[in-house]
Amino acid sequence: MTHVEIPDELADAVFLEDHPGWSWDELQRAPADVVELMRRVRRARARTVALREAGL
Amino acid sequence: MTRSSLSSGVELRGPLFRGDPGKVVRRNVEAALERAAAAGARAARAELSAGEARRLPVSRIGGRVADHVQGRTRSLAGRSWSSTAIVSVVPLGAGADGVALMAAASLLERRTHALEGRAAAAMRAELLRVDTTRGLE
Repeated sequence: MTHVEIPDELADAVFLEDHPGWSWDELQRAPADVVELMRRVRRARARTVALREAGL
Repeated sequence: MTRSSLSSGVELRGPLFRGDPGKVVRRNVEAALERAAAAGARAARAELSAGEARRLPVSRIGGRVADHVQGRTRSLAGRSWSSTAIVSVVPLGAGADGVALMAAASLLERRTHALEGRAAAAMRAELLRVDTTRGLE
């Protein structure tokens, strides 16, 4: 299995579209480690689901 | 003394203000991910098919690993991953056929790097061509 991710800036834009409660300004002001954690969770989600589906 | 009042207004016209720019960007990103997944799957199938004449089919399923390669942007259950494209061998389940397929796929991947090599490169190349503002100009 292999996977690619869109760049962080684009992923942030998609995140905002998916989460109407967040604004771009709030995302910029959020602590860097919180934003990084959100990005890691998002990146891991697809890979984890695909591996589980493959029974790996 | 005379009093005067001044008022001003801004008229927002053009493609950017016609629809929802966020949704347009989102659709463009999803389309780019779909293209990347398709390009990756094509590249992986081509690489895996290259030496097929010299290999026997997977005996339990009577087919080729390349036939089971798929590019996806959503889970098998249908949930969108929104920022990820994946190319993988789609499993046949936990039974013996599924185990045989994944074992053959694992062996071939170690030999050819069709997924981690060719498919990943094809997907990255496709993503570089993403036009996020298409439809907004």
